[in-house]
Amino acid sequence: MPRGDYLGEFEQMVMLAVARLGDGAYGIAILEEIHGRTGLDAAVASVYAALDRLERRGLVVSRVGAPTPERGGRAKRFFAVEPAGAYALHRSRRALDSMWDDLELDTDGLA
Amino acid sequence: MNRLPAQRPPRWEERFLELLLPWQYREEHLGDLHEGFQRRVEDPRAARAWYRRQVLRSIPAALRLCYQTRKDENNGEMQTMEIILRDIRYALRSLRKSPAFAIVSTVTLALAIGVNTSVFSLVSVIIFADLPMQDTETVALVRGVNPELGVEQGSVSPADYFDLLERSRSFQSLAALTEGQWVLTGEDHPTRVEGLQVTAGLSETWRLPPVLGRAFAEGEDREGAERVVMLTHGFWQDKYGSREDVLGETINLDGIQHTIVGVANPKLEWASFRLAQVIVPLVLNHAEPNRAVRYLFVSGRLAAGVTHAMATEEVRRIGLDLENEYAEQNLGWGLWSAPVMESLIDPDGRTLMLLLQLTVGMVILIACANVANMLLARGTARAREFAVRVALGAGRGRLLRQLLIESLVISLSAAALGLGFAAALNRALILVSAGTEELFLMAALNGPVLAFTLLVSLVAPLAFGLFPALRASSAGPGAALGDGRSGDGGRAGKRVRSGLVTAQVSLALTLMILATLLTRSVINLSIRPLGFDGADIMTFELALPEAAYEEEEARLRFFTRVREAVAEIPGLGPVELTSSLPGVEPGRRRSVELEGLEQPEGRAAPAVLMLTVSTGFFELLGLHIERGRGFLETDNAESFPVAVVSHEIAGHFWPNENAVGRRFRVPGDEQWLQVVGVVGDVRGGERDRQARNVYLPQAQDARQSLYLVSRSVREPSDVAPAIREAIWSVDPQQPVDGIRTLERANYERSASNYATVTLFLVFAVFALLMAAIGIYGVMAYAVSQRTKEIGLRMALGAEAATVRWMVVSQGARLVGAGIVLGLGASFVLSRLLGNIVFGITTTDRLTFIGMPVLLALVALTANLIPARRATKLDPASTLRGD
Repeated sequence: MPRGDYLGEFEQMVMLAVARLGDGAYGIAILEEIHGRTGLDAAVASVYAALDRLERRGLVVSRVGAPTPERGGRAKRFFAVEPAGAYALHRSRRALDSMWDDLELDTDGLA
Repeated sequence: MNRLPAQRPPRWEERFLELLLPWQYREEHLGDLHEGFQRRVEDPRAARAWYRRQVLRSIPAALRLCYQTRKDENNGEMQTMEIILRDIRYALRSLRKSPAFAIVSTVTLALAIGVNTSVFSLVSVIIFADLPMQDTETVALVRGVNPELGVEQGSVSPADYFDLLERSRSFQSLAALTEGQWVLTGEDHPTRVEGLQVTAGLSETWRLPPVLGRAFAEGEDREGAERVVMLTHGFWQDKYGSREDVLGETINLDGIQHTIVGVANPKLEWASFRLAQVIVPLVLNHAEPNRAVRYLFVSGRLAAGVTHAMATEEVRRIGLDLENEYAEQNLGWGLWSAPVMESLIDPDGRTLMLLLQLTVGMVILIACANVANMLLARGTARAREFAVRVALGAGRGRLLRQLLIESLVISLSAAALGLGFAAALNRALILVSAGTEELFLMAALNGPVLAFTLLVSLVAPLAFGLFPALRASSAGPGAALGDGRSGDGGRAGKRVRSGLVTAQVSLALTLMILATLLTRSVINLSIRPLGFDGADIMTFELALPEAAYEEEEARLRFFTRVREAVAEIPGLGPVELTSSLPGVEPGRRRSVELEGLEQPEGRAAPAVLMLTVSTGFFELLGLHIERGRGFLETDNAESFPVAVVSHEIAGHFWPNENAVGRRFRVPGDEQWLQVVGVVGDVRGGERDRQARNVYLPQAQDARQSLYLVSRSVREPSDVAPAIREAIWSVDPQQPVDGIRTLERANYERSASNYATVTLFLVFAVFALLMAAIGIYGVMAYAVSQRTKEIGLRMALGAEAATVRWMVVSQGARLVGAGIVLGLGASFVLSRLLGNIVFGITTTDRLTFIGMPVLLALVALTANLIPARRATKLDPASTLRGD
């Protein structure tokens, strides 16, 4: 299997956030979803950079919404996970799960 | 949240990110950050801190996005080169669509670049002078100086040189050289070769190893040594085709065989040394006692640990000693040593050339400003095109790049054209100066000059293109498509442009007036009557080598036989002789002592110009004998010495008296010369005076070097072969060259004047063109800015003439101001020409009225083009357009 078909950790987080947010998946919402669930404080630009890569690979799609006043009159860009994206997420999860199978790692109480 | 409506994200951070992000991502990205900020705005400080942190951490990702989108724009595979090629193609297409703009801007810059390149090639000769020696910092020149006579860079006498060699401790080696001429024979026909005579140490002192063979060995510069010669690199290439086996061959110089021992370093061919073809050892006679004969160019290599200051001090002291020891011949003369860089390169000349370069550098700025004005006008006209492209998704950077590439295309074509122009100008200067001006001959469009031109043509687009490009590309889609305004640079911009045009007009006028004054002076100088009819006189010089013609008899015999032989050539009249060409070059300057007149103490003795001529000379020229007689065959070595004086001399020395019968002599000579006749004046070399000529008969003053003159109905090139044959029938060892008409000789004499005037005229015409283009650019821009206003006026019934007058009068005000300033500057600067102008005053009325009128006419014509365009606007379309 070609290397590029697997997803990076941050990419997975972004895509899962998009999937969770459903119709409301846009930049700052994705950022806060990730922050709320994992505590990871990412930059908006990193989110966009990841989404840009994913969109190029056909794993997510985007559309531009209407401008709103709390955004200084600027439009939102909404993202949605494509079937190919859902498949890639599943595969990544399966691959990781099978790697974890029956494995015990001592984290010295950090995990 | 509504309680704090004033809270906005930190402005500068937002701006920064906006610039950084690719335009495709700006909207949603900034929107997200704005929203995130608003969610935290309860605590404004925390919100701002969050915003800043976001911006900072966005930089790497934003850069990655930039890179990614750029790759997309190029279709993922287009290379940088291809983008540039595409932009160049686009630029060419858009320039082709407006050929008038393309041509005017290219030619403007081409002229500016051409003039700059040409001047830079002259300047670089002086500034980057590549001296004919290695490690120049330890080379000093030793010069003879005489403060009283104003000699700062004089030569040194052989006896002083020998004493210097003996007494100085500052130099590890000293060398002397002098220039010389020889007759080269043994070929098809004899030719004159130029060359240097150098002491054996020169090659070592200058550290210039020969490229082939060896330099002169110690002892080869002594009397009686075997005769050897070195060839200069150029002569070796031209004459011997760079053959390596020339060593050991012999050449015949002045009738003596010399063995070729080496080929000199090409670096030696510097300034006047460039003319040298052969180098022979300089044989200095220890016994030569006369220290007043100074002809050596002395240089030395400093010894280890000796500074220039120490050498200068020692040389000065030796000079002082020699002055005291040999006061009779050395009174007032000292010796001086200076670093070669300082003494070979005249600091005044350097400053002058730098000033010239600065002036033409300003000219290129003006040209850039002119093109910038035109680009601004064009940018306004193209605002809609840009707006459409922005709306279709072109980024600002891309528009900017495109516009700059357009400028670059203009300036590179201009550079190519400008190089051609510079080459033509340099060639014209050589042609006009008849090859007499060292500087023009040495100027070449070489590496540094080409680099200069390239640099100028790469920097120029930034100078003239950046501002208009920024302005044009900053028009947002909304702004330009909406109300059609794209700004006019405001009041300040307008004032700058107007000031620029005024400055251009005044600069142009000043240059035009100065150039006219100079041109008229040179014309006035050259149309002064010669004093005789010189139309069909042909002339050439014969210089006899001393070795073969030591006897006066032999010299007289040679010239007599040559005259007879040449006179037989069909088409030539009688042949006469003169030691210098009257009206063209001055005779030998001598002070004289008049019989019966006590020279007052402290007054300089009167000076005359002496010419030695043959008996029929006055008749040939048609010079009228006013009193007494001309020379006769009986005025020869056996009879008493006679002279014929010019009308000017007769009136000056013996006013209201008869000059015939009077006697004078050269101080130091025993013999008195008796005046036997007074002859009409010829034109003098000095500005307004008639030549103060005194003529001596050739039979009593057998000179080695004389001009043959004859009236000819044929062209010099026609009769030249016959003349050579005739002379070689008398002496086959005589080189014959430079056969020309007196007119041509006259021209060559003032050729460097003509070249200077040419340079000035080129500048003046160029400045005039620049001013015209400047006016055109500013007015075209102004009209383009006022399209709507003009359309409205015309729709409301304004006459075309009224509108035209409105535009023209605006331009006329600028021209008027420029002319007033220019006239002022000209009045001040023309005073500097006081000693140069001839036949007119420095405030010549014709020039000071004619030039402003000419300038005004040209400027107003340039002004009329945009004015006419304004009236041709269709009111309906200008109003509907928006």
